Amino acid sequence: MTLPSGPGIRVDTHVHAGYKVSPYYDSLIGKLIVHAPSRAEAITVMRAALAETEIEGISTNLPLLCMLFDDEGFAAGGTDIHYLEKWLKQRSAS
Amino acid sequence: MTDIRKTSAERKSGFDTVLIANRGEIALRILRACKDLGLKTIMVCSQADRQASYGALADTSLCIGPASAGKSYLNKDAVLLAARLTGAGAVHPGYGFLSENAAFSEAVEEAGMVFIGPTAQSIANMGDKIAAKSAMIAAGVPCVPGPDSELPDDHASVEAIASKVGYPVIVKAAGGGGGVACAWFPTPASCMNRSRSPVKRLGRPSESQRFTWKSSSSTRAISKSRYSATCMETRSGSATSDCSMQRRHQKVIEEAPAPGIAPDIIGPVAQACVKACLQIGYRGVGTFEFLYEDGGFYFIEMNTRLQVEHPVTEMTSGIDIVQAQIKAAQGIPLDVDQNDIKENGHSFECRINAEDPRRSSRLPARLRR
Repeated sequence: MTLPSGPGIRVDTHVHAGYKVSPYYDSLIGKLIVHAPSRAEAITVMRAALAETEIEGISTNLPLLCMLFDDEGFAAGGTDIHYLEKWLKQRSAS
Repeated sequence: MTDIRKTSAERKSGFDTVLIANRGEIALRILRACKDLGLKTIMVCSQADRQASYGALADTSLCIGPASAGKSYLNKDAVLLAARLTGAGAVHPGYGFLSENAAFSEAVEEAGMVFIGPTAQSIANMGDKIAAKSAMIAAGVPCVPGPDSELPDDHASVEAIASKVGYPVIVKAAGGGGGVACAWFPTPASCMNRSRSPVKRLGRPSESQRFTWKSSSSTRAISKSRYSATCMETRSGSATSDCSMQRRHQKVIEEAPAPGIAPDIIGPVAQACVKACLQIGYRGVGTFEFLYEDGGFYFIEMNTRLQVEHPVTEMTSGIDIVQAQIKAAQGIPLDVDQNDIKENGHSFECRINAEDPRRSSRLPARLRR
């Protein structure tokens, strides 16, 4: 497991190499947080942070998060609460 | 015998030991905040979490029950017993589990300890979405169109109300939190005889036979915007974030500030939130959730706990929200007021979830390059 680090990057997590994810609770294993002067810069920092993150042994939503941060509509901002579900539907149809 | 029940004004506020009634990343986050404030920590866990390494970071850790949350993290008696046995002065519930349980807040304070969160009264009022909406209207907070009372039982009356509000409409169980117990109906036909589905989904028919309406358009951009408002005594603060990226009504990515919403639109709403906190006698951290559409904010609900996504607000406001929450419970006044809060830069949070924990195996013991 590799977690990102560097200026403007914060990881809130309790997991570590060897940690067993319990099926009894919420599936959240960590939160990746970035901070930068502007939205565009924060997107760049997040893309790099996501690319640096490696979690093996379990399946996670990291691929989905990477794709979302590469999505032009999301990068442009102002997406509505239906955007992600529509986006997922389109992807599964194509 | 003297009554040990304390009102919020006279409750015991000095404490040096905090019991953390949660697990995972938030338990560790709270533990760090306590350590930074020089407080001793007690971590409770289930049998499934006994081996979790973060337990060892606490001054004391205690297993309080089996893996099933109902028998451990949600077991009020077990948590209270652990708190008494270890001499805790305060209990931090984190988010989820017992964090919005009015009876638990009351039981902690009746036992002479501090509940790091709002009073039982506040939790109960805001947990009832109908009572919450009435309180917000009274405080001048802009609310979602629709009646601020429960829906009638017969379908014809329900249809009449929906038509008056204007389709599309959303039906929500009065006792339901977040997006789990709501249903969206774009047309009258889609709504036909299905308006009870959110209550069924909540699975607590005995306590949730009421629902409230709200309408929103799917064709225009709606972003769900929120204010994180911490409030106590006469000082309070709020900041914004956006959590539009949702899947199955659950958030995936959050950001602060909300993109495309001008600060001058936000200002008056922030002040209304602060006023609402004061009017309802709210203490500690809370979050107002709004729908945003065409320049207008519409209150949906108030979460009377720390949010999962509190870090985005921390990054842009520069305020350690967990520490502020603990200090508020200690009776230490917040050192900022609304005018001092400046949002700086931009922050994103990604929630990393295990996609199918039932099939998961242990994370590899060794890091791979």
